[in-house]
Amino acid sequence: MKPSQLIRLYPAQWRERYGPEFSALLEELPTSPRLAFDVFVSAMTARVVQLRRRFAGGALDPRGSNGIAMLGFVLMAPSTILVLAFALKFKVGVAGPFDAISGPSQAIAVLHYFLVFAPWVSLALVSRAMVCPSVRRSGMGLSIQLEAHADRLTLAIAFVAVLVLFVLMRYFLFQHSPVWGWSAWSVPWSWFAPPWDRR
Amino acid sequence: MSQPDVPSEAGVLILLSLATGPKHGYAMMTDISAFADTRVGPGTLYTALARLEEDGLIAAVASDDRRRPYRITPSGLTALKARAESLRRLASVATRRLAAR
Repeated sequence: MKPSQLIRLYPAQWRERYGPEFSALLEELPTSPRLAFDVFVSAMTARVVQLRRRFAGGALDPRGSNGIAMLGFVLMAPSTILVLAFALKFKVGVAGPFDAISGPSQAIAVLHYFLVFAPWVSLALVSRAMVCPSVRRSGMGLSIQLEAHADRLTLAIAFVAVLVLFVLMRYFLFQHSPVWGWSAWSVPWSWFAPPWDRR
Repeated sequence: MSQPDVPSEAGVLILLSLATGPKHGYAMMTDISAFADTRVGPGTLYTALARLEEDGLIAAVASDDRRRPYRITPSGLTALKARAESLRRLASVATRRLAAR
């Protein structure tokens, strides 16, 4: 492969900006394996830089951040409703919504999986929206930084996700789920019981 | 705007090369080879060049030629002076400590 063809390894955005002048430079230099290797490493570096920017850009852009956080909120909305139904059933004594999704059918089992895992995914999305890891070359070494960005909406969604997960793990997964009968474990789950369930 | 990182070794060589006036890539490579006795590959050159431009330390000069020249910016000059001073201090310490042996 000619060095000029190696330009294709660079990201499109980089080629658009530097492609013509870089091609002109390569045309002036004698072809050698060392040159090809240098261009190859540079192209890979440009790709890593682009990936890092994409990763960081989404997290630090307030609109992108809110979008990701809102996606997390929408994803865990059914679980949030379920948790509210839990509270109604065990605290107030209203059974309706929760009992409606009980039963041994396969569809209900799939729904249970979704309801239990959705808040974890939501929490991951919200964390992704709030925290931006970045790796940069710094002198002879690497500098790894974690940048945090959070507005009230993102923090509120993260708080709801943690709350929903807590209640789900306590009630749904370990005691009431027909999918996993883990309530027989000798773990003192009562330690984690919410106030309304303490006897 | 965030504080730009300290320029890499290739970045410093580019800044030094541009300190005498605008140059395009090939002219920079030739100049660096002459004053630093080291060869900077085209890929390495453009990786550093893109970074310097992003940090505002150099800027492209308008040109009809495919070979686009670059010039050092006032921020680039400041960064280069700071790096030169740092290297001067380092050289001074090295000279003293080596003389003591």
